[in-house]
Amino acid sequence: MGSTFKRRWQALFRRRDLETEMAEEMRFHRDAQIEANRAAGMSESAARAAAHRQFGPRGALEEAAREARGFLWFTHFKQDVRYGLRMLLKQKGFTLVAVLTLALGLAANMSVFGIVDVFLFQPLSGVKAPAELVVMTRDDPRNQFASTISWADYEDYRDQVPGFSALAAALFRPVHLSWPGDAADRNWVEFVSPNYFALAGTGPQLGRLFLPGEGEAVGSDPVVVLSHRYWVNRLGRDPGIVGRSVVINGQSCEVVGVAREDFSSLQWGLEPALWLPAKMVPPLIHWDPNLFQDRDWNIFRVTGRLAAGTKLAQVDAQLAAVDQRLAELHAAGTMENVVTHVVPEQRSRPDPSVSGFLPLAAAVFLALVVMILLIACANVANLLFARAVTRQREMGIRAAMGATRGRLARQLLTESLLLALLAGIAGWGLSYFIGVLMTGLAPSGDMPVASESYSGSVWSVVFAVAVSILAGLVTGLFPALRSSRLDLAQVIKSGAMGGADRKRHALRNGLVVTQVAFCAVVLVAGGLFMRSLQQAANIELGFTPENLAMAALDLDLQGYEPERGLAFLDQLTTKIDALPGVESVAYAHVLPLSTSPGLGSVADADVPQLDESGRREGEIQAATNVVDVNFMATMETGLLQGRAFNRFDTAESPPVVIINTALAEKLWPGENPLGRRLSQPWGDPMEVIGVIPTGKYVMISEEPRPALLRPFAQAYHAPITLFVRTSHDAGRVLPDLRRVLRQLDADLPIYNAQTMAEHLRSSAFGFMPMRMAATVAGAQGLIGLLLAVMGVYGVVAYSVSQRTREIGIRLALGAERGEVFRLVVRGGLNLIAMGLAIGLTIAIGLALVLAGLLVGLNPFDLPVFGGVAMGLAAVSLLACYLPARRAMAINPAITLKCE
Amino acid sequence: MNKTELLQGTLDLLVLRVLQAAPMHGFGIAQKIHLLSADALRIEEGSLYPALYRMERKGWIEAEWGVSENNRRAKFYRLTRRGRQQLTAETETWQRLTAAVSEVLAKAD
Repeated sequence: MGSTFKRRWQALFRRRDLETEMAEEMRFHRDAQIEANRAAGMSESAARAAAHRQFGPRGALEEAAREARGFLWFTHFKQDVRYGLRMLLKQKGFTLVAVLTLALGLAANMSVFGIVDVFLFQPLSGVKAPAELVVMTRDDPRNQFASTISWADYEDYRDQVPGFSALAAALFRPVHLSWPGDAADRNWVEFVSPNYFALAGTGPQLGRLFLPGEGEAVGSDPVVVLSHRYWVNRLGRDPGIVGRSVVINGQSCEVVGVAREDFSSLQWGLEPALWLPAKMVPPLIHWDPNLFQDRDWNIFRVTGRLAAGTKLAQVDAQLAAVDQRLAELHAAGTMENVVTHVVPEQRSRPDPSVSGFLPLAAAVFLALVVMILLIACANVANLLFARAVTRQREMGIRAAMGATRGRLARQLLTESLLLALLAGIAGWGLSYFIGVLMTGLAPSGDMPVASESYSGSVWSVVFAVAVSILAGLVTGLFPALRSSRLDLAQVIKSGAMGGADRKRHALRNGLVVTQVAFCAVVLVAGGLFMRSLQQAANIELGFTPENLAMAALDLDLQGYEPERGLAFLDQLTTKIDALPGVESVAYAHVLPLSTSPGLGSVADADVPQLDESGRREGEIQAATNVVDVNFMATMETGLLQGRAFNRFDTAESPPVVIINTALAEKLWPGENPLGRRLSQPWGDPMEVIGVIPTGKYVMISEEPRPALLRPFAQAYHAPITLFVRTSHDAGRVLPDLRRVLRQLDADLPIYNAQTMAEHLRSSAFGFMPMRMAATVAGAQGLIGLLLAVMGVYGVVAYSVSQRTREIGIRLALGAERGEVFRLVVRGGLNLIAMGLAIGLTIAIGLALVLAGLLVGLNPFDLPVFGGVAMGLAAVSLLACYLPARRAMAINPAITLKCE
Repeated sequence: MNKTELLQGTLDLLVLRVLQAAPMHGFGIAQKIHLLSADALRIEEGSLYPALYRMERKGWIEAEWGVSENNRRAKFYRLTRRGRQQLTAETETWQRLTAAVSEVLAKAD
């Protein structure tokens, strides 16, 4: 084997030597032959002539010998590339159209793959051996978002599961950060277990990271590690930052270091400004230190590193064993039917609870763009066909000169590969611009989301090269095979119009049918996404989003205690109410459809308790909000039964609650809920005093979700969002809002200051995913349509040019021009009808898959299917019309004469 | 020239067999086959050299530059171990084939 390889290696790179050797060997043979001939009694000249005759034409033998030696393909390849480049340069128009067509298809592919790559393939940046990282999550039948774990449970898993070599906990929270002499900023930070950086395997850029033993006791180590991004953007790479102090929520902490540039977080997509020990949570954000003992305080995201050679299933089994012991320690029933397990970090994005959905969505979009690429390939194949016809003579002559069929096919294939590579480069450029446009679609919100670039990873380069080569093969293969199957004599005799035309027609027609079919599929998908977006606009949100402005502030972080906070809010709302254009103002703890869902468990207070923890049978999850007395009027939530909150609902009066219809039906189906009592795990039972219509709370696409409102006076929750109802354009009130806030407390950071319409459009829980899907699918549909129309036009125009003579004869024999028109158009229409029939059938199948992806999407949406069918037919007709008009204009006298 | 057409693959067999006796250059191989077949088989250079290079690539034979009988530089081919195995296998196949063919020719009436 080795020597074979060596010989081929030599064949490639010591070609000149081998050629010389071969020539010498041949010379020796010839001379020996001459010698032998002479010895047999021939004259000198006869001996020479016989030897030469025997050898035959010199080139042929050497060619055959070279081929046998196996380096011929390389020589040919070089010739093919040179020749191909020359052909492409010679036909600039053809090259331009073909390259642009393919580039469009490739750009669509690279862009979509770029996004998929960011979500599914790119490993976590700046982390050692990212493949070993796993995220812990829980399947809880009572809670959709159960992927966080309490500190006490985390410690047990950390100490009792041998399958982890390390296990770290992290909590992502907003804080108010201020540097001496500056006003406070709101920033998101990560409170982490002390082993966090060690598990990541990252080091400091400056100073140090957390030390072993640091941050073990509650409130003991007020130390801060800054993120590189924050250090650069906010502190201008200040080299003397280590050792300085920063004020976090009013408490002074010491900066001990800056993390490395490539590390942003153990959680994909997040960019915290800095890290603090988890045990600093109680003093900094004023939470009860009991959070480290309470097993139902599930707030930490837990990331683990698998011990060497451990399988996921082994860890899951070890977790199940720990869970059995934990069930005793938790409040009764809370661990029932709960399964704790781990998922690889790459499968946990953006959150383990929704990650199953991502690969499916990715597959659908990749399938759609592959179809677009195939449409583009079909177009280019068509162009190559048309060109192959004009080149048949050239091919015939080359075949006659001794080129083999394989050699000719290889030549054509090389040309289309060159085309594809050029297109790949152009497509790369295009996809960069698409990437820039896409970044504008990224979800907005208060949380910092890592702004990953949409291209540039090794994977996407591999993908682009692979797809380009594939495109070259697909576009080149059929034309190459067809035009290499030549009947030489016929081609040379009959001039340019030779070859097996019937078969070639069938293939071209097949391509058009496929194109129209694919285009129908892509357009239907785009249409369905847009419809679901349009329908989403009519979704009952539970409030009126128009003319509504908002701004959020967190008085807790600023150190306000409840009495001062309430007084501040009173003063604030009075001032805002007086602003011009403001109709009413209200505030609430939870902003609907945002990153803080505010889910809590509730139960009928009149069913027995399960144990002393306050939990009851029939407990359900409800979206819980705490609102002021003006909330329902300002948001226009509506009221079906009972009354709204008023100023007599105070901390001293009996606790009251307003519920939505979904909650009423869950707990008291068919009964009057007014006067019934609702209990939460903490606090006294609350009396139901009103019922409001069900809206959307956590996600725009959710099923009717139980929800409840509590009066602010009875449940003070300091982080609030202000809602301002305006008489006209809500955006105009925002500057006034900021001004009023600054007057009252210049140091109070405000965030999320925007209109409700903006929030809904850009929130990842609002319309953003649908908008993104509709934009991508719509763009795909347009590209597909453009390409398919080009394809139909090309085929019909070609068939007209081929039939010029026939049409001329028909006209000369007295055919009406209208008849000719119908004849030409009918050919195109048949293809389009066939393509549509196939495409719409496939589209129904795809729509059924999509229906599982986007709630509220009707897979048999008539307007979409009808619209696509009619639109595609109309545009294709237009593509037929132009060549048909040319056919009508044919002058029989000229046509017949010129043939 | 009235030549006997060689069956596909037979040339390889003949070349391998000739080289089994002693290393030989291309011309010598052609001559020897010609002589041994009592002038019945004539090996075209156009088939011989491609066959030699092919077998060299497959590792059945290897080449080395040496000096010919009349003191000229010539490329000598020699059988390798794999070439020897190949020869044994092909000889067997050939004998089975010819035996079978003779059998049919003798008994077909």
